[in-house]
Amino acid sequence: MRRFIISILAVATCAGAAETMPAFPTVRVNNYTTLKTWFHDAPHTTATFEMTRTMPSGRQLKSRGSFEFRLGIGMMWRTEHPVRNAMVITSKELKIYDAKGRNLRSTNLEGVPSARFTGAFTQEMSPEFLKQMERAFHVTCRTNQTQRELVIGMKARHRANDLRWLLVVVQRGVLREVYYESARQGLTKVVFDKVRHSDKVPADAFSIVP
Amino acid sequence: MAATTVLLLHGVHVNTSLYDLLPAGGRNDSATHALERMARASSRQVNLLIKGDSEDKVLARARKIIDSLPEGIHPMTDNAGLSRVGQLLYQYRYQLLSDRHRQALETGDTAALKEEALANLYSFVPLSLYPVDEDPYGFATSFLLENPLVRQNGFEPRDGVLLTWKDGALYAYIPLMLPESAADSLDEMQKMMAELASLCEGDDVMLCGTPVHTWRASTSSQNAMSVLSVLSLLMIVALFLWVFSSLRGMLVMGGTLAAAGVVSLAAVVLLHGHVHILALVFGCSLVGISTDYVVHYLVGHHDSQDSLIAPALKRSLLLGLLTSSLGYATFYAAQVDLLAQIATVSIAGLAAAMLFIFAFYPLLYLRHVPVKLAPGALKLGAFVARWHMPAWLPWGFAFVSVMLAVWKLPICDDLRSFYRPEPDLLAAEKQLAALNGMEQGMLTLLVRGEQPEEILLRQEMLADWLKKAGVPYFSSAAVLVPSAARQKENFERVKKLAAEYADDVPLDMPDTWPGALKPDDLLQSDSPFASLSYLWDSGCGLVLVPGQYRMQLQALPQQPWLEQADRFADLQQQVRSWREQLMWLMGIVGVLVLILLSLFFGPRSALCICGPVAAGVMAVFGGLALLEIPLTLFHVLACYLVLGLGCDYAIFRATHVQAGMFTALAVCVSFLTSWGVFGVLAFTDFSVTQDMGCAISLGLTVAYVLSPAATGAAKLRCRVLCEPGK
Repeated sequence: MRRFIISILAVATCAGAAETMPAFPTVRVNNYTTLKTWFHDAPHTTATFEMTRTMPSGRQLKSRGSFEFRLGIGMMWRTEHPVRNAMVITSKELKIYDAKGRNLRSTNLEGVPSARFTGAFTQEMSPEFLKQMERAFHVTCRTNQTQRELVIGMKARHRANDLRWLLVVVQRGVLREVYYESARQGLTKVVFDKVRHSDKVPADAFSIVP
Repeated sequence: MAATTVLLLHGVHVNTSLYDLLPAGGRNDSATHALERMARASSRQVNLLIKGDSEDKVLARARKIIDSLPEGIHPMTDNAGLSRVGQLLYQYRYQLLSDRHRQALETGDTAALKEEALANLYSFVPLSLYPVDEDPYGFATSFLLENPLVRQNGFEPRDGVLLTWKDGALYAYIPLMLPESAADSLDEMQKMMAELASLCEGDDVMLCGTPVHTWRASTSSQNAMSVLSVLSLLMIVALFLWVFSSLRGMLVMGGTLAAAGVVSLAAVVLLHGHVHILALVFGCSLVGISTDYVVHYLVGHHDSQDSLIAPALKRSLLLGLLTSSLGYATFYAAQVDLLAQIATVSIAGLAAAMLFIFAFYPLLYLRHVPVKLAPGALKLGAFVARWHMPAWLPWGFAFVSVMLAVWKLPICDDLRSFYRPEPDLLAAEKQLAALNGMEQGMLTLLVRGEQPEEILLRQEMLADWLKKAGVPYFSSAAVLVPSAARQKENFERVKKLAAEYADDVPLDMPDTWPGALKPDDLLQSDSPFASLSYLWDSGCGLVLVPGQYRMQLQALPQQPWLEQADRFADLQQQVRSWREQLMWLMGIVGVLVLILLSLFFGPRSALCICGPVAAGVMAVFGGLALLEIPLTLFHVLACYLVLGLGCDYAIFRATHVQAGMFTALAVCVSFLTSWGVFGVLAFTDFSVTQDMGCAISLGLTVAYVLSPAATGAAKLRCRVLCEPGK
């Protein structure tokens, strides 16, 4: 169950609480080719972020830090303020580190079916993964000359599923914002800055401690 | 009519579970009750396995099957059920702690807990199953996900299905629960299982679990028995047509058997209150001996207008009844309910058949039954009557058989070995065992206590011992619901932690202790854990340990409240005890029959009469030894049938109540009828009936073939009996 929940929510690769949440698209067209193209166009992404989260109780949390995505390897979410920790997720495991780089918790995902789902973002957009996406999500792509939006929404709200919807805003091929609503975390808005996309994925390990 | 009235008024309750036969074995009532509940729960659980190479295919197949499940069958891992469990446990989140959190609080390593809480709060994915601001430390999440009962195997819940990878293949496991009513009704279970099996056709789906075995075995037995019953009936019909040129005798015989059956059932219901299926099967088989009586009556009245039963025939019939009843009456001495039931069914049935013959046959004979033996039958009688052999030959045969048995007769009392499941079912069971780490079965520990809290405390103590002994996972109620003392202790520690980090990780927890969660609150709820309710009883708790840790259990401290229970071993011990008692009783019966016959015919004649019977019974033991087939309880029970039928053959051959040709023919027809009824059981697939069929075939054949050795043994005395005026 733990891995299942984590894997489903790992689709929400970025998080943040929204103050001015975009309207959820009413017209939904599954367009996985665009999604696949976007990921493959940006196999390596680094950015800084500012996250605003409004939790179910109404309490608001703000944080900032850095983000790194490596296609075929995994991703890292490093919070630098007001706490310092880092989370690394790959198709094999999920690890949380403290400010000194000490591993606080590890969750082994190897051999678990949902790890293939989780790993799809980090490794490949396989046909099987796309079928799974199609079963669970609507993906809408809205494109104009200045902006391309990718919207991923749940097709059905299962009680076991936490993610209600997710919106990724990409402008001129550059990741700008992510919005999502989670039953457990509330509304989250993430604004990215200093985004750098490159087609070369570094071979060294993630830098856990800045 | 009286018997039918009794049955109508009283009703018939037939027990079918082998566990019903087991005595408490010195355990208290709650322990027995807990074990019975576990057996009953197991008897309703069907395990469905779907194999595939992709999640997509496996989940689609699983969903299709779940959506079409027959009414009454429900999956035990559905999302709604898991959600209900989650909600219930969440209410007690400050007092139900995982081992990891409890250890951290015990050692005072609270800084790590705070770091974890902050990671939860600021994580881009939620690491908690609950609203992160209500459970930032993840206590409830860890308690559920790190619980040994949830994580003990590699299964991952997904859309109400448990998934796992093994040897490069993906398996979906769906435990299904049949309704209570299916456990009580074989018909209902068969119907449900047939519907379920039709949904699960294909090489990618496997079904296993106790109901599948019950369904397959009972259906296979019923099919085999149906075919064999028809064959058996055709054989007997052909025999009667050939011997008597008419089937009217068969109708009378059918009426006799029906009357005997109803009376025997009424007797057992009146005396014992209920009847076990085994008693009914064996008892009714023994009642089949009464067909001999009918055959002797019919053959004795060849071409006769006198419907009365000749006094000599009457005495021989009574003697046959007496020897059989004497044999089965010894079952009462064993003080085993099952054996007493068999004795009641047999004695009451045989007596009823005899009364039916004495009271009604003379009335029916002239109008409806007059028979005339066919010429071929008369030739057969004349041929068989010419067989002669020395009186010592059966005893010599019996001696050789005994020596063979003493030399190398293997014995088996394990009921599991009697059952040989079909290869695909066996493969499914092995696959599931390999997936859930239960290749070597499950061991059961009983933890007793005066109060529920005491049992939980002892289970927690046992859990510590098991971990120290190297047992990483096990199932018990205390794993899910700790003792009240531990829950309160946890609550106080969490309260202290919340106060310590109130600024960094605010936690809105109650000031006062809200009370403990009780095992019944969880196990009796409408949730997947309800299927584990057998683990908990107010007087006794069960702890289930995988079979591979058998050695580790020996290292546990000896405690009066702790006991390892093995129901299979109990059952094996019980079966051994029954078999030994039956073998001793058979010896006693032999001696009693010898004494009885000595009183009638003198010791020498009695020995001559008993020779073929002894040879028939001993041939079973010797034959098994020769073929190196283990002796089972069912072979011994079959020997009683050989004893009853064989006695009749020898008595009639010895007393020679009719002209030699007719006696020989009557015994021959009796033998062929009995073989047609019981011998065909040897051709069934079910090992129990197969064992009985083989034993009866061998024993009866030997007893019949050697019965000429008793011919005329009581000739002089019989003449006196036949002519009382002299």
